Amino acid sequence: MELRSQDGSYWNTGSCQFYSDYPYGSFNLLVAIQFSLGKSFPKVPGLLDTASRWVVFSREFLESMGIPFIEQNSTVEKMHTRFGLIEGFIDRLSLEIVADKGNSISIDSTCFISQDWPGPPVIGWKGCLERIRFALDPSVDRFYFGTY
Amino acid sequence: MTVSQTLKNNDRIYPDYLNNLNGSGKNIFLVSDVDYEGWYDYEEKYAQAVMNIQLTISGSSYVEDRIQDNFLSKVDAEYQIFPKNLLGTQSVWEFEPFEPEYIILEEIKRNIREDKIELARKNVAGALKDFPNSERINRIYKVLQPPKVLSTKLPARKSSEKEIKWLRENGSKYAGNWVALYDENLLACDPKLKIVLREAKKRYPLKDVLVHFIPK
Repeated sequence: MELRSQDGSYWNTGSCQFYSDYPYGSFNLLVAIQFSLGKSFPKVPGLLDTASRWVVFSREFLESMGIPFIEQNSTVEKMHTRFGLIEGFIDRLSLEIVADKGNSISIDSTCFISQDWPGPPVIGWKGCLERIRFALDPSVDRFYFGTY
Repeated sequence: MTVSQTLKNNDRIYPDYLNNLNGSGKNIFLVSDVDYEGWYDYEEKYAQAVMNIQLTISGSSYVEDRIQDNFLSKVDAEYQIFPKNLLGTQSVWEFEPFEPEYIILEEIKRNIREDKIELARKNVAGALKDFPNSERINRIYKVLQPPKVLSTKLPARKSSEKEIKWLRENGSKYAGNWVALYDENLLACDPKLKIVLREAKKRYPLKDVLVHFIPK
């Protein structure tokens, strides 16, 4: 089921299943959604986290995926996380929130890339979610998304 | 050297300002005889910038307030002791003036650390007008731009429901590994993601595969 605005137009462009209490080692990801780094890249579960400043990736993950990023002229950034203070840098990467109904969307996002990050990929607020429309329906575990 | 100037709140300290105080490109100040190698290596220019603030306004009550409010909480605990030790001690240290763009970059970094991203975007846009040729400012301007939706028409892909179900039931057996799944089929498993991707794409297009790291 897709959502409609009061004027009858579609509220979202796509939707996907979200996964709650998704086990990740000793932690649970409260809400995980599937994303991809491009149309020919695999799907990856990521933590949906509106409290996270940026999208967060480990450097090893991006390197293994073959995603180019630019460290030159970056300033060292630090971020407080549940794993403590980690260092990294920020860059722009395109990521796709993968729909299983409707259409997927790709977003040019600000990503924090850290060699120290031991956690899962994080889909954060600033630099990504702040410019899309989304809604969660826990009765059917659906994540709806679109633009505005 | 005696400096009687007192900076006001939020004043930026630029090399030009320091140079005007003593009329040279190199400034000598009264500072503490601390072993600065440790923090100097740690984050050279940040420490240098802090030292400028410290030294230029030594003796002012503003110093302590400024450091207390705006600096101490931003650095690791082991470095917090340094500025306090510096006050009132009598050693000499010499340094070259730092680049003005660095102070602006530090301010932007501070904005980011405090989650004031809109302010950081505003500051970096202002800095770009002052330093249009600065590669570092151009770069941070670019990466701090609000996210942009590039496409809303990408095709949907198959649901990962079966893969996630498999992971919930079987994932713990593969702790420490990346796994690649298609429906309930484990395509590859290895601590190295590159190997998993290489094996998985022999059987299915990667776009239909779910990959996931299972931590120990």
